[in-house]
Amino acid sequence: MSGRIDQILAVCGLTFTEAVRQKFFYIVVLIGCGMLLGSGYFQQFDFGIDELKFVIDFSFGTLFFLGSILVITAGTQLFYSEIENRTAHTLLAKPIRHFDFLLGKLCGVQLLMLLFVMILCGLLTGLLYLRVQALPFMEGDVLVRYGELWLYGFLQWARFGVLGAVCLLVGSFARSYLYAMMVSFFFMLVGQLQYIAQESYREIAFLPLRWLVQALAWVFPNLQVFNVGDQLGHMQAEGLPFLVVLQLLWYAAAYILVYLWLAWWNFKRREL
Amino acid sequence: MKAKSAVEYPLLERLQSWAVALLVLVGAALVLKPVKDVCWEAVQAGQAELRVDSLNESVGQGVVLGVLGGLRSLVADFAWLELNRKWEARDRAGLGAMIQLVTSIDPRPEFFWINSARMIGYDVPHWRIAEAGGYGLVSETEQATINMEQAMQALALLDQALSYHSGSARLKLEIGQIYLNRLQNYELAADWFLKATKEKDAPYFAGRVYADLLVRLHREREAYAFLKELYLNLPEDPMAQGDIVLERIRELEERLGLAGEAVFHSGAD
Repeated sequence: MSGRIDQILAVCGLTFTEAVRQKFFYIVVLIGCGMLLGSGYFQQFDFGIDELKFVIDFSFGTLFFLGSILVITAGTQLFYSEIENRTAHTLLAKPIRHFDFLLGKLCGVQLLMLLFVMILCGLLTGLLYLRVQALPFMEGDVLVRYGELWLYGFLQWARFGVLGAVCLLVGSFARSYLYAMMVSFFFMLVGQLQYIAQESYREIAFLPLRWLVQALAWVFPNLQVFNVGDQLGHMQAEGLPFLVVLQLLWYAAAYILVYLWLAWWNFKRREL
Repeated sequence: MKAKSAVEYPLLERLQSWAVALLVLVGAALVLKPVKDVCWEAVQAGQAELRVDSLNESVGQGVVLGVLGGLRSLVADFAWLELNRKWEARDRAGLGAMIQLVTSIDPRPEFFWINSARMIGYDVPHWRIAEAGGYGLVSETEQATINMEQAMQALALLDQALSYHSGSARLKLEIGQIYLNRLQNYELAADWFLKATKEKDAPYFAGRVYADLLVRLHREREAYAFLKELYLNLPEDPMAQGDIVLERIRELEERLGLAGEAVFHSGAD
């Protein structure tokens, strides 16, 4: 058993090392940090909401948007490059199981995403702390709930895990890198919009279309459940019950397992 | 003759893979449904824009929300700047489209709804009258029709806003103002001012305006009772302007012919 864990950790370590050496990762991190640092500038274009809420919204949006791009691009690339360069062939010729290989890959990508989330959340916490110190406020007032900023980051990380597993599934049957990436992006988009299908299928009168829409809601996970930015961080935000946080994590973990299993099911039957 | 296995038929094998994948995904969706429903309910409760009332309206908004997440507030701000450009150019069609766009992208700020309603209800009638030849040429009946049409559009927009901000005193006051200033319908204006006073973020003046409207509707006794109640519940805040409320109470007592024991004893007398 410890041998299998060592193998998974080895694949994970290699995947992570390869990922952090990629220029793309640095570019995305730099853009993310730039956007967060520039949120004060963008705030002058804001009309509707208060300054801290704007900075929190903007930063959550950056984390969500850039993180999705990073996980799909890096996840697909790191898996597919193993197939394209035939290194997967060499690796799987050794006594490493297909499932362990996929799990190691996913863990490597998740480590990369953890680093990304921590950098952005750390920067956001620092920025907000400095801004709050400069604002006139009554002692004891809590303008920003810093812990919730990290909770949002953690929940997004769980969502990135689902997307990472989707990339493995798509990569397990895709014949080209570009195809795998595009399909993963579409998958994410459908997952984000699935709630519309789920909520409105009853309105559709045309029966086959109604069934199709209902099927969409069954096949794709509702990724919009992780869109909890409005409920976290700001003093006026309602917060998220602990039970809901646990259930969100359970929802993500279950889908990660399902996609990982499906990826394995496809991958083991694939001729490399 | 030996039967061929699925592996010997690539299409069958592929179909088998798809069938397994679909079965697993549908199974997972069914098993996880209770968990997802609880999470979804909690997320929807905090974000009104996630409630899907109409498919047509929700698709565009859903795409923005799904793809941009928190970045939508910045996109909406830039769209608002463009909306102001249309307003300056007195482009009615463009203004309507931009209002729809801004409020769809980010329906959270009341600022967008209130200012859009003001443009529709107060500015556009002047543009339409000017386009038709100006106040000198357009008959009063036509002017009233234009005012009515635009006011109804503004009210429809604010009604839509209330579906996102049901407890907003500012939106209710804005509706009251349109009934009062554009439609001169004091009855409905009073109703909306009263609704606004019941919200926790209601400004102090809302109650005073409501009482004034009751007086205009010749419901002095109601206004008197309301002001007495209002005065007794005012906080110790100079902004609450308790002296003005008391002054109005005294005016009404005079008008109602109340004297002696019948007058209100404020404790400040």
